[in-house]
Amino acid sequence: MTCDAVRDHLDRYQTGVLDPADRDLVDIHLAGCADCRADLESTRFVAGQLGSLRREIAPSVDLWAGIAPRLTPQVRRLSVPIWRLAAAAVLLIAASSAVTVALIRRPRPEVTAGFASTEARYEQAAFEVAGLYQRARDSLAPETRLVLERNLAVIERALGEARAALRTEPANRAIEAMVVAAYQRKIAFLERAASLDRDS
Amino acid sequence: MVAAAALGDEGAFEQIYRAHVGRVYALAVRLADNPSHADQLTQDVFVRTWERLSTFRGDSSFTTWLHRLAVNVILTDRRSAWRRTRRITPAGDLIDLEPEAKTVPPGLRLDLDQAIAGLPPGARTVFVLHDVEGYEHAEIAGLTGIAVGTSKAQLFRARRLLREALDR
Repeated sequence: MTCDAVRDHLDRYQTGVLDPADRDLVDIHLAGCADCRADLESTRFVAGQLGSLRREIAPSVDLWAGIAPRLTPQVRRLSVPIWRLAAAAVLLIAASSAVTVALIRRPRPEVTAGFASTEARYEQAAFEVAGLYQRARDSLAPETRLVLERNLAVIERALGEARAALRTEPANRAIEAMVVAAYQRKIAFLERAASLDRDS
Repeated sequence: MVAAAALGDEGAFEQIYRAHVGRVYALAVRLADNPSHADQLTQDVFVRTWERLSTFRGDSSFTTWLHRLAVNVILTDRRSAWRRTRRITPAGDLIDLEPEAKTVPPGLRLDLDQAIAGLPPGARTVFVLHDVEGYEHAEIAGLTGIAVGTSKAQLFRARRLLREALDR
């Protein structure tokens, strides 16, 4: 038996659970190998000390104060499994498509003035926060970026459908509200996405 | 409690922290280079736990799951530190890039924790994971990036050093 093989057996040898055939071979090797005898003595010695080792040690200060501020909702959202995000994305597409179809089929109301400037302000805000996300995205893990950008594509699609519906019915206040809601969802999503690199 | 914390209940998560911090801190303080770093590592472990709670499926006990996550967080931190060291030292096995073991004043009688703290980092990591925490050499090799044979050699090196430090 080689030294390596003997060392593999030493823990069971010194606790008396090694099978008799292997035990005899280890005994023969130990009789002629000072190095392995030293390893056996060290193993026995340390095993005798391990019972005194504490399984738990209390920190000298309460560490919770440094943990609680780091438990941000953004961090928790990042931990949602990808399959749940994918399922949510499918539901969002279905819901936004159904709402769009329902709105398109409604009769046209009177024209509302001033929504174009509202939409322009939202578009500018979305553009600015998209810039923030672009600067942050390189520090995110590739799989995180993939999930974020798939979800962003879903939000963009919902926004595009809402805007298309508004072109069909330019004065429909319900569709205007839907466009605004879609912009707000996009801006909030991009803000959260841009902040993820600070939380990681 | 774990389910409530996974849904974002910070009160439930604080209870989890209170129940497990002693075990996690014991692991961190034995693997870290100094106690203040153990504080930071323990905090990092619980923040990571919060982030990963929704992935806990109950395939093992929560304690086992948390413990493995803690080992991963601590060893990842160690690997990062070693990589930073390796940028300015000749390339080699990470486990060999060790500062010298802390010296023990002659005549001072140590307890086992003090003797473990005096081990070189590579031997200390393997000893804590194998003899204290019960990991197998193959698992240690996977966690630390060293060969199984290196893990075995480091274990016997650690045991010999501990005996020399304590049995005098």
